[in-house]
Amino acid sequence: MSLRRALDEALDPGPEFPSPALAHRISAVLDDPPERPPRRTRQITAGVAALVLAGLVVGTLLISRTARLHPSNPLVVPASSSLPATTERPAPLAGSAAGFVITQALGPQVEWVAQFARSGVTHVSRTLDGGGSWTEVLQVHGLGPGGPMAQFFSSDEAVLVGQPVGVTRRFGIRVYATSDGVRWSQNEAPSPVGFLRKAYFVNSREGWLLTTSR
Amino acid sequence: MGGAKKAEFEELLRPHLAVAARLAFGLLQDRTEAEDAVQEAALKAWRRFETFRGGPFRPWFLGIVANQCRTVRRGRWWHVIRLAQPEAARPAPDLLTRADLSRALLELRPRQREALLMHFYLDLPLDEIATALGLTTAGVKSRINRGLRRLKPLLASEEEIHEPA
Repeated sequence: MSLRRALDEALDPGPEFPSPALAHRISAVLDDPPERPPRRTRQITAGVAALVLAGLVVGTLLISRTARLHPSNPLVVPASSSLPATTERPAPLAGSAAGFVITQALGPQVEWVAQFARSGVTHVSRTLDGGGSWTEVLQVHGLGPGGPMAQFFSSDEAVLVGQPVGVTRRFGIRVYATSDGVRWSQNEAPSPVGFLRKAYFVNSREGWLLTTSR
Repeated sequence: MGGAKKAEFEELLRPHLAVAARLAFGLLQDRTEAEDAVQEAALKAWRRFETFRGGPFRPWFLGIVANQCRTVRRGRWWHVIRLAQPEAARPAPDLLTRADLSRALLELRPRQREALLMHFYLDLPLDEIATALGLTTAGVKSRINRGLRRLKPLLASEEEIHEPA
């Protein structure tokens, strides 16, 4: 078989390719191209973003340490397994045993914090006023340490993924998702799915789970 | 840039969209990604259009498409080998060859893959490929031949491969 024919067969994109809409899409993009800041501005923006991120990490560590030094901190969350678990709280980093924390600022007013406490309780909190007040929007019990992951897409859209751990085995992977920031759905990946290694979501409905058999 | 300039750009672009999409599909092996890459390449070409000094538009644009596809591939941590729906009459060895060929193409060096696809999949002349890839004609030949050497074991009859003159 000639290479030309082999390539034609192996790389057949199927009917209607490219789609008739492609030319229209391109025309629309040319009419209204996305803003592209000058290179210098992009470098400055990246530098500022790195500084802000470093500040957030240091700030989070300091707050976490402060919370540990004051075990009577009123932010210790009572156990509850109901969804949604929305309670008003003045600050997000609760409890005496912060495990690890994921924070994500989505603008000057909106920031999310997911705290995976060593006690096995996971707290997700959100501020909509630049940190003036925080609302705990989700509380989950029993997710294994090291596994939970959180992604925040907007002020209302977020995903939390984790895997409960038993004494001898792991259970199904749980995906908690919200599209309004308050009501959360809980779904379990079909079993057996193996061990959760990585989760990547493109929004609160679509994503990928990377698992391994051991 | 004004409306007249945009109309001129679109006039130049339109006849080459199909071949650009085919190139992008050959390089990415994914319809949606290929169309997205062509759209992004068109936007980049439009932004650079003021620096376009005339000459043939197609190799200039295909060069941008090839670069965009390379960027997309670099950003990927996965790839998918898509097999066509098996047909009852088709013998199994053929299917294997198609899958193996798709996979082997993805494993070539980027310039080898681009030159080889432009020549054998798009039927572009060597001088146009050289312009698109910013190489000499000899450089294109050498990359095609190196790519061919890696693909030959997959092809049943070697004598039918037409190496560029």
